[in-house]
Amino acid sequence: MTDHLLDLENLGFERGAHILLQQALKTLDPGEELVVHGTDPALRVHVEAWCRRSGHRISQRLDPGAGEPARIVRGQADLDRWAGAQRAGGAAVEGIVSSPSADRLRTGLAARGALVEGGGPKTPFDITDRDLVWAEIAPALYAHAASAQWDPNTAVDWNADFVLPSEIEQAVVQVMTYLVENEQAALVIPAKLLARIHPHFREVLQLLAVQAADEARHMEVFTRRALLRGKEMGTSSASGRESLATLLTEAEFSMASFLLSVLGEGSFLNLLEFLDRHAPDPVTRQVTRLARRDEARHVAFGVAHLQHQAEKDPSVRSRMRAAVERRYAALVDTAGLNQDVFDSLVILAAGDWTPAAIANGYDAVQKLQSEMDDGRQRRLVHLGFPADEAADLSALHTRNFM
Amino acid sequence: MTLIMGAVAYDPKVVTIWNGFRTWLRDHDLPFDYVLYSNCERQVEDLVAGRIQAAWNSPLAWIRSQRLARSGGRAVRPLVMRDTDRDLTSVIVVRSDSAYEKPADLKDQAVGVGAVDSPQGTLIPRSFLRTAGLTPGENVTIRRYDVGVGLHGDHIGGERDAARALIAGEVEAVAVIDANHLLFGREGTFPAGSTRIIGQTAPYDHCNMTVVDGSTPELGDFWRITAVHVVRGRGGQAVAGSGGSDRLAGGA
Ligand SMILES: [Fe+2]
Ligand SMILES: [Fe+2]
Repeated sequence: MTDHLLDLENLGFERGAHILLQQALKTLDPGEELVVHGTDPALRVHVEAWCRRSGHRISQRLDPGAGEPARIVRGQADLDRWAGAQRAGGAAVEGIVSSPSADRLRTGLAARGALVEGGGPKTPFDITDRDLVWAEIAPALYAHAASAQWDPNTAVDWNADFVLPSEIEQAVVQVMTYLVENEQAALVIPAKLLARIHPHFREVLQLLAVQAADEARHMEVFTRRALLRGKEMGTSSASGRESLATLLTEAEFSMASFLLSVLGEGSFLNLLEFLDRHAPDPVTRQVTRLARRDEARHVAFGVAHLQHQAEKDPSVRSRMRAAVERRYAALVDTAGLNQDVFDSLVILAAGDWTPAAIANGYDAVQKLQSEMDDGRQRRLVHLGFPADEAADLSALHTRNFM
Repeated sequence: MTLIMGAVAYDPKVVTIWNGFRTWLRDHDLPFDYVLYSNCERQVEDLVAGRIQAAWNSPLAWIRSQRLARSGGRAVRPLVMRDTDRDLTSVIVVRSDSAYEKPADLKDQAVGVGAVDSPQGTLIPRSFLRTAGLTPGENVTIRRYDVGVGLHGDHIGGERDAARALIAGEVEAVAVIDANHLLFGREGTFPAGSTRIIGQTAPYDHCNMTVVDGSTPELGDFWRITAVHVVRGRGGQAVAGSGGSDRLAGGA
């Protein structure tokens, strides 16, 4: 048997000798011997202390000053350490497992597909079932969302030259104030949920994170439009906030996603389209158009997710029904949409301060509400509800839109 | 039946360490729990009195439990210990640019050591110096860097303070455990090339898990066999080294 040799020359452990030593030992089988030469005066003491820590042995103790090579018998602690390790599923989407925390390996924050050493800490992720979070469209939606991010500073022409009559400007400010309130709820809900989802479902976390970032931009651009000409925001009604509060308390991921994304943001698509159409100025048009593009993605994921759920488990539909009814019951005694917001929408659609224009505006808002209703029913049917049940459920949706 | 072990809470991380062990051992069907002591004296008393079935003992606690058990007509034995606690040495370190070549050259000089009750940082090096003809208080000054007294050296703060004092020129030599010389070099407490080793003690052992003979033999043996088997899941040599610890008793 030829000796395995390593010459460290004058390199000591104070300057990285362990790196060469570790590499040399890696190529040996447990029990094989490595002869280590070197001129660093502390080498023998350090080799011994390092070997003890690393699970190798010194075959023979040497006088530190003797100048003889150190003889290391390769141990197997490094191999033992990884003996019980397992891959946390596979890195690609096909490698997603149904319940990543089911074994006692506690993969937790480990990258999907990483070789995971056992004995890790408990993690706070309580949403750990593939069927509870996954939708096949998530990776594609995330990729699209990431590529569609826009810069609020440059995507909107904040210097556009326009002057609105003060009552129209005030209506814009009121609608923007309402939108900001809703965007804040729409940011907090995915943010709360994503902190509970097992990171194994990376694409869902990424998608929700970008969704939260979308809402952060919406908050910004709506606030900036509100304050573009004046210094004051509009009003916030207790009933509007009441409606949003019922979304915040929904603990179940799927139901929160259903109420927020399918029904709420679904209705918002119509609202933003309405504002785009009736915007009295280019800035209002741009900010609502930009937000609408993002919202379409949020709705798409919500629908795809719930569809996946309902396919796996038809009882999901009765839970959705119960969630709508529960929320309706909680809000039945509240006023619904802030009257100031409703009136502002009418004024924006009217475009003029005459009785005939106001009447037209009023009709337009009625039409908006029926379009929202149609949209909700369509999505509910898409999720497998019979048409009549879809109509019933849509009618129970909050009058606050979101 | 659960094996209940005492451990000394020398640092908040002790909770993390033993919680980790507890989770891991339970995952491997080894019922285990621990209780923490603020000092090792009470831990040893409780061990010998049978109030706990095992104790994670420092070298001093091990000797103390041997003596206490013997006086009560009983015997203690080490159940398991870690590879990393075996065959430790302490080294006498000087500044590279000093003239000292061997421990005896430190006659009439000041030597820094760790906490008063640290076997590796103080007690063993003191006896080592004595064999080199240096008697503390007579022809050599021992300067103690007391950090974490009562923890029996399970705190490297004292040794690190001593190491800094060496570099600062406050002492002419320090005694540290070999692994700490390695650590201080790698972390920069000893700048690269700034120190020289002029003496090294004979090897000694550190902590072990101690049980009292006759208390719960079947539990202890079952636990030892299984723990060794589990830790060495791939076969090979055992972690348990009951022979090693006796050397410390004799050597210290
Ligand atoms: Fe939004
Ligand atoms: Fe949204």
